[in-house]
Amino acid sequence: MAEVAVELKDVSKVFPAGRGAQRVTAVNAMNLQIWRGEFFTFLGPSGCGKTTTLRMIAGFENPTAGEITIAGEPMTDVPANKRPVNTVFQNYALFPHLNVGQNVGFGLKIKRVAAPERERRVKEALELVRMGGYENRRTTQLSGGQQQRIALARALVNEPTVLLLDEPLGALDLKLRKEVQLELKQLQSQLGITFIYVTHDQEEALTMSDRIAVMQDGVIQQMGAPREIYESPANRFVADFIGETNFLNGRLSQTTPAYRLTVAENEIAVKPPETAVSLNQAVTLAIRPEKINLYPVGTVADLQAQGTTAAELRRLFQGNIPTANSTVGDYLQGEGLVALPGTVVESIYIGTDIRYQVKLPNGESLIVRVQNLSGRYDTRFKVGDAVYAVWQPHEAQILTS
Amino acid sequence: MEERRRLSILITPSAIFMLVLFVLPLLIMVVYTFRQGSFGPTSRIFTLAHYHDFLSDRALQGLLWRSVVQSFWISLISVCLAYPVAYHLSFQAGERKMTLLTIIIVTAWVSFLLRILAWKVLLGGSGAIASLAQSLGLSEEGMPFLIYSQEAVNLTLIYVWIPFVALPIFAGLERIDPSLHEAAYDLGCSRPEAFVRVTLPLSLPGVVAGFLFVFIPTVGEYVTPSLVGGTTGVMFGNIVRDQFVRALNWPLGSLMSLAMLIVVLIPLVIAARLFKFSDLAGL
Amino acid sequence: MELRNRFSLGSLYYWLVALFLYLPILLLIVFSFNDSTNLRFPLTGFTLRWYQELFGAGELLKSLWNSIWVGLWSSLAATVLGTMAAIAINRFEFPGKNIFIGISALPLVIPSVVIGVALLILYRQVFDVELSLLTVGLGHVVINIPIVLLIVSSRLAGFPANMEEAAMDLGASFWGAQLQVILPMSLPALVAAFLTAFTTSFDEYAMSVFVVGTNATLPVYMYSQLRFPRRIPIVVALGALIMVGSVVMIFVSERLRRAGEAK
Repeated sequence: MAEVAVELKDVSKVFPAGRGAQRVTAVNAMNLQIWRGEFFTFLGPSGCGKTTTLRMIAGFENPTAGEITIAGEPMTDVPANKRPVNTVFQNYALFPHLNVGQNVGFGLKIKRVAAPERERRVKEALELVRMGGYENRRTTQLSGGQQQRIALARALVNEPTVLLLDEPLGALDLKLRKEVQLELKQLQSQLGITFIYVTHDQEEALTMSDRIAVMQDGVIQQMGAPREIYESPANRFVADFIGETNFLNGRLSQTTPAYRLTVAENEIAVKPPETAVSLNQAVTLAIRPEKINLYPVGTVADLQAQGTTAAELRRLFQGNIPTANSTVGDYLQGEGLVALPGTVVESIYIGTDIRYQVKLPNGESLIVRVQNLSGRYDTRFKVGDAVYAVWQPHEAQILTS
Repeated sequence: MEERRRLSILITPSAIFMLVLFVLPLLIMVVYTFRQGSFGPTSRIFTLAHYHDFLSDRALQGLLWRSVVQSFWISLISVCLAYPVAYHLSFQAGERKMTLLTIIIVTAWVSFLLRILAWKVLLGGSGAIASLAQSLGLSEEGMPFLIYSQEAVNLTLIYVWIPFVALPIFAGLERIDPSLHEAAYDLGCSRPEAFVRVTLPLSLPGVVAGFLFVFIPTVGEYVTPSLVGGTTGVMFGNIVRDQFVRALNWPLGSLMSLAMLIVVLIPLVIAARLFKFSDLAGL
Repeated sequence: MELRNRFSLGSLYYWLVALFLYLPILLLIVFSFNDSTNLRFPLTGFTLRWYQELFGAGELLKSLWNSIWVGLWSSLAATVLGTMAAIAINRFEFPGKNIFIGISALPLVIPSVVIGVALLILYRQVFDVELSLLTVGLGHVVINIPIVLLIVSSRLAGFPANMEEAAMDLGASFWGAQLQVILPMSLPALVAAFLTAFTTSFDEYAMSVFVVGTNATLPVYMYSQLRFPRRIPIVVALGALIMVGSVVMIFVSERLRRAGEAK
């Protein structure tokens, strides 16, 4: 078992009602262990308590209840300036009256590290973030990305047990953000320092983290590796917050020998749910837009009559083109796929993908993302076309909350 | 309660200082209005006599009213004269605006007494203007009518106040988002319309701040009248001062001072209700 | 074309106003070099007599020294008190905060004569102390605290709120963060506040005259000299020197203020 870097035991934070403000429970009885060397991310919408949690670990806020330990030491009576953690702030909080070198050396100076060693470590830290030689620059002369690196160097130079990052990439533009994400991840695995990262950007969290805690209303909704969070969301909130998800209302119609579900006036196959579900119980079926494929309606002969080329047909039927008068529906059923009939009501071209909205017979609708590859039949559907929305039974998930 | 200790260390010194040397004296001044005499045994007798005197003295009330009206006009004219300067600096001067602003503001830092003295010298019966006119052959005698009048006081004070008024108006104009003007033009306003409908209303906090900034001290003014006002230019402040320096009627002087304070606090309170403090302070 | 027109009109007005503001002052300076006790035209000849007599005018120089002394101490005290209060206002929420701000700002917006009268009564009738430079100086601190408070707190409000946290995160204590980050960061504002307070104190007459003892400050002494026409040229000469001095100081403080704002 890995060593515990940070542990939260029943930690709560309540902000009392104040002038014009209501009493808020920002963090509610949180229990959590973060391993040494882990890249751990708190992910959630604004106001979910993720930043408050980070600030409690940093020592800027005191928990109303519970205990935080860092490297096994209880932190209850340890003020922020005595904790073995350092923070990279969202706005970087670089000191405007100090130059880059003085900013990075600030923590060492406070700890009375002698000047020669301080200079050496500042130099190393700046080189680490690829800002070597910037010691004498004013922080105001730097770009946002450069300021972000300086803030990182200023924290790392103190060799903290845990590095706290509060949405540090929020102010950067998209392209730079993607670049820095990868750099941060590399830096973290190279240094082996525990990173605790706060963001509301799910893509950022998925890209960088070893583990993610998805938060809402002061409670961790789900904690796990990025793949686990994305592929098997624990509840509707997580499924909705992480990426895009379609939700269909359903009712469990069969549990043995296999689970079957009634959705949109059709009975479909589904994989067994994570939690116990009884027969006839109302549930939600979650399915990601990119897991759905669209198929045309009709017989193979119909498709040929519409001018579909042989190559397109081969692709559509994975090489096994059925006989001319067999229908697409039969084929899909034969393959054991879920196929819900519907109508395309919207088709949006977004470059990498085509995004369709498909209306189902009961009025519910599905978002479908189809990769924009040449020679694919399903990139050409128009509004009004009758289609099948198709997925493999194990791609969809039953959610009860 | 570490936080409370920190707060009290930071705030207690100035709070105590202001309580003892500002709030307390004002309260004592109020108490003083009820005393019969300034010193000795009579100062221990409490009476409403001074209130009675003040309220029955039409001339005194008239002077207070006249000083308030006079201050109103002085402040209004100062604002009107300073506004175009601030407008020019904020919207037309471009890169040079801070330099040009400093040129104006610097005059505000020249000794108050010297600036009044300058006008005493200019306006004097045989002063600079009169003697210049004489040496240019424009006038035979001196011009004794220029000085020692209410007009001389008005002119001098307007001169003194213009830079003080220009600064808050400028600050107010600077806070207006330039895209608002573009939006106004885009929505079909002509330039004058855009000014009346957008710029002027938005600059109002600065204008009000500038107005109050000079109105209040002008109501209490006594230095300028005593130097260039003569007997006809006397203001309420001169009479207040006389109670302490010549007549030695401190209780009546306190009461008059209190009346003055109340008169200036009324527009201040109204302005504070209408605008945000930070807008008025130009923060 | 229209724009050009408007520009020159505004510019013309600006320079007219500037001329109006500068002409009387320049006139005084001209007269300070004029070889006559009468400040009137025609000019009778160039002299440095008034400036020379300045050095022999013991009382005048003493009052100048008094004003510098009072100005330095009252501005220093106001800067210390006002800055502490500004940090508190910027950093903490507390009951009565708005009342504190209101009362602390009030001396700036009530007539000086009222403050002078109230302080006179306090000094003579309550504390029964002799009027002196100390009593004037304390009065100057009262009117300087609001100035410092406004200048410094507007500067502090311009910084991100978490500078103190950033310093503490890097190991500084609360007071260490104030001394090593918050104060140095606000240094331009502190200097500007000090200089503004100093010039205010140096020029204060309307309140000072109530609470000054026999040992006069410069404005009080200058005012008393205006009754003697023969002394006026010397007063004007000193005024001209101070004017040049204060203009230099204002440019320095404006520079600092703007250097600080160009973050």
